[in-house]
Amino acid sequence: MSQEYDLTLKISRYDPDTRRSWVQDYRLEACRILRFVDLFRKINDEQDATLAWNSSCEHGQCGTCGMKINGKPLLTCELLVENAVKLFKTQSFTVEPLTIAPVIRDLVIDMERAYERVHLVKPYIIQPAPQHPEGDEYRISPQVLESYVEATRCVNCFCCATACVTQKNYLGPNAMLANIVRLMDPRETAKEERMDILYSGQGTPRCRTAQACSFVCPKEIDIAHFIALAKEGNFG
Amino acid sequence: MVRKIKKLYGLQMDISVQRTGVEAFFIGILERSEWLSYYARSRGWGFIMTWAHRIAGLVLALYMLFHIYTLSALYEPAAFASKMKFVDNFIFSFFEWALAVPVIFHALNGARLILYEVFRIRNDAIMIRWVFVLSAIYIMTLALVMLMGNQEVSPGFFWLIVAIASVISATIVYKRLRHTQNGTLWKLQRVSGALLLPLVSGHMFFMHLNYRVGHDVDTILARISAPGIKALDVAFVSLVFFHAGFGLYTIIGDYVEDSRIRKGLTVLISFVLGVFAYAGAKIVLSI
Repeated sequence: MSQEYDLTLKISRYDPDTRRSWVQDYRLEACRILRFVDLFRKINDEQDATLAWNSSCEHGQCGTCGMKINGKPLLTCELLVENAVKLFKTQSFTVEPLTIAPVIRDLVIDMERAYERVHLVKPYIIQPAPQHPEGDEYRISPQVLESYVEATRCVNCFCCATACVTQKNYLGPNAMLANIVRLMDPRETAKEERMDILYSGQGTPRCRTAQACSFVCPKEIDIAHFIALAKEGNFG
Repeated sequence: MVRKIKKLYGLQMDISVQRTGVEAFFIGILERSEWLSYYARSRGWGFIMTWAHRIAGLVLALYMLFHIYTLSALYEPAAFASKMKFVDNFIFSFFEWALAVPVIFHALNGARLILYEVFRIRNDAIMIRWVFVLSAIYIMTLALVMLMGNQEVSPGFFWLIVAIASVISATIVYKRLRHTQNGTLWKLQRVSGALLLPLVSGHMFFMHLNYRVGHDVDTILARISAPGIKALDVAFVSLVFFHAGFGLYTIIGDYVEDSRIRKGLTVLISFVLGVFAYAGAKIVLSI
């Protein structure tokens, strides 16, 4: 089963020195189990060493290789050629950087800028609850953990924020999730502060419940569900 | 849960869902549109529904301004009657019917959003199907009623039923929202939506039961002279303009980053819609 595909990648390029943007076509043959990051590496090796792109772990855990393939934000380390052909019913793909932050070069965006929204929600336990008196660990019941453990899988790849209807004046789905997951975490005691962030002008009022965040999430987190819990005012 | 949603949408990789005949036929037609197909695959149908909701809302807000302008002719019944003669043709009747598309879609899709947001109804792919099915039933029934044009109903009875339905739906939504920390206007938008769903769909239906109800000046004047109808219409006008105003304010907030421009546009919209709401209420109360 070593089926080969004749692929065309229409890749958005950007040169920061000349500030020129253009789309460059690359034609390449690839077998079905190659991932899109492998295709970029193949282009670098065989056709164009100047194409810049970003990745780190290439196991869907670091969230740095997020890009838009035929308009859909996803992790390119998880997208197999075979699945892409099936999903988009074509062998021609547009490849664009995520729109959540300025482009540094080609497919590389400024992740520091992207993370500014996440930092606004303080993605850590602000005020930890006292430790359990009978031991060092803090105990969370399986029922409570079950209600939010899915949300802890977020890797901040910003695919959801790119897909979201609301692009301005909004924290974005992943930052909202970072806040909500700590609101639901019994180890966090700074609930009031978190609620203030959640219902601020950049919080729940900006969510349109389009659920594009859930649709594109590479970690299959139902982000819209968690944001809707905030609107409902009931995290139980 | 999310896997189930993606399966129902039928657009996620590695999943192919067999749809039933009618649905597959309509989805096939819709997906012939490059634009729809692009967003259905890249953002999901919920994203498209949100845009359709927004566009329908904008169309209805603009129509409301036109509607109040048209109704202002009621101050001179003879002028109103002559305007109605002008619109008495197939083209205008078609537009009157076509207006039901954004009206019922916006109303039912709004109900879907409220059910998702505050009633935890998460099987959204099925809800989207219901929005389309119920919209189609309403639009076709309205077409049938308009073509027959000979239906009669007691206004008092009809509007009593509609008012009771509105109050019940709004009370249910209000009870779910009142203790949440969402903003007051945000909550009011949902409550006004719940009130408007029966009111607007009822209004469109009632006005087309027969030709006289919506076009004969004497019939219109006789109806709105009743105190109960006056009260209902004033509430109706106020709710519609509040709902439209907050909707537009929300859209502005989604696109305008500069807070001064945002405030300026908010003031402008509040002023324009406030004037039209006042004009609408004045027509109802003074005629």
